[in-house]
Amino acid sequence: MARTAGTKTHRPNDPPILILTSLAGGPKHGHALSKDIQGFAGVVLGPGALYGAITRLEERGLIEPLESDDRRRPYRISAAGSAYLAEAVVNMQCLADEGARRLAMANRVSAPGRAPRIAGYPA
Amino acid sequence: MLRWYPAAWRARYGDELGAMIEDDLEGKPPTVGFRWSIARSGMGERLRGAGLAGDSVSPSERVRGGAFTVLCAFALFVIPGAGFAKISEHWDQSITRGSRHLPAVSFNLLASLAGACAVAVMLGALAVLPTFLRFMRDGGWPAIRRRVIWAVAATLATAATTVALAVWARHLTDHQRNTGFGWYQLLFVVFVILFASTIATWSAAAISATRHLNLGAGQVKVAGSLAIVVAVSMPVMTAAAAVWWGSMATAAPWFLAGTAPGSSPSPLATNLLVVLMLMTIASAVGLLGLLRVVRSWRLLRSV
Repeated sequence: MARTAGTKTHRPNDPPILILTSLAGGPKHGHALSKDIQGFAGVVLGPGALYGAITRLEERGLIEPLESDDRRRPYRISAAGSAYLAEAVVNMQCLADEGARRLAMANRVSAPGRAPRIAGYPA
Repeated sequence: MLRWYPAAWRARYGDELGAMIEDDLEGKPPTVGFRWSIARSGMGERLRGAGLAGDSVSPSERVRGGAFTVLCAFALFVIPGAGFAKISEHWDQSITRGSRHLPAVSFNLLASLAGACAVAVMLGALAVLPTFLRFMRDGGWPAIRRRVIWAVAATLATAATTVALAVWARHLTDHQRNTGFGWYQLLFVVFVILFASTIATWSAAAISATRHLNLGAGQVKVAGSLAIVVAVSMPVMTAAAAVWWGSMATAAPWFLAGTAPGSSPSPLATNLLVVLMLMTIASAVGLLGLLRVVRSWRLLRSV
C-alpha cells in the first residue's frame, strides 16, 4: 500500500518512539532509559543506538537535557515531544483498531476452527 | 571505543555515553558485538556529520555530502584508470584494422568520458575558488594546513619515485622491466602506493577545505550537477573497459598476455581483472553519492 504524501507511519519498536514513551513517564538518563525500555517493550537498545536516537530527538527539540552534576545526564520529554508522541500513539492506535476490525470480520466469515480466508488466495 | 565518534559529538555526548557504557558493562570486558555496535553508531554519526547519511542536516549539506562521495569515488577511479591507461598503451598497433572497430569505440568512449570527468572536477574547483580564496584571506589556512602538508609530501615523494623509475628504466631491457619481480618491480609497487596516496591526500585536503566553506545555493547546485555527470560516467567507463577487454581478448589475446603475436594465451589478465574490480567499486560508491544528490535535489530547489 502506498503511503500518503506528508504522513508518517510510526512503528512501536522505533527507538525514538520507545525513548519518548519512556520519558513520558518522567526524566531518565541513558542507562535508566535502556532498562525501562527493556522492561515495557522487551527491546534491548545498546548505548550506540540509544545515543544515536537521543542525538536526533534533541536536534529536533523533542527531548531536553536536564542540568546534572553527574556524568549521567537525564533527559525529559519536551512539549513538542509530547505532541509528537501523542500523534504517534493515535497513528498506532488507528492501525491497531483497523487490524482488529479486519481480523474480526475475517473470523466472522470463516468457518469455526478454520484459519481466516486471505483475499486473493484460494480457500 | 568513543574514538569512532566525531570530536564535536564526543564533546557533547561523550561523557554521558561513557557513563552508560560503564553501567551496561558492570565491570565486564566488552564483547566483540558490543564494540561493533559502538563502532557502527560512531561511523554513522561521522557520516551524518559530513552530510552523507540521514536527514538531520540541510538539503544543501546533503547535496554537498553526495558530491563529496562522488569526488572520493572518482579519486579512487583514477587509480585503476591510470592502470588501464598503462595496460592499454599501444593496443592499436597489435590488432588488425578489421578487428579494430569495437575496441576503438570502447577505448575512445572511456578516454572521452575520463576527459569529461576531469573537466567536471576542475569546473567544480573553479566554482568554489572565490569562496576558498575568501576563506584563506580570512585566516583559514591553519584549518587545512595539516592535510595540505600531507598532500604536498605525498606529491613530492611520488615525483621523486617517478624520476627514479624513469632513470632506472633507461638502463633496463624490456625483459628486465616487464618480467619477474626484483628491485625495479618493488620500486614500481612503491610508486603505485605513493600515487594512490597522492590522490587520496589531495582529495582529503579538498574535502576538508570545502567543508569549511560557506557555499551559496548556486555553488552547491553546480557541484551537485557536476557530481551527477561524474557519477553517471564512471559505470559507463567501467562497462567500456570491460567491452575493450572482451574485444581485445577475442581479436588479440597475445596483447593482454604479453606473448608473441598470433599465440593463443588465456585472455584472463589478472591486472585487468584488478583494474575492473576497482573501477566497479568506485562506480558503486559514486552511485551512492549520486543517490544522495538526486534525493536531496528536489528539496534544494525549494530552498
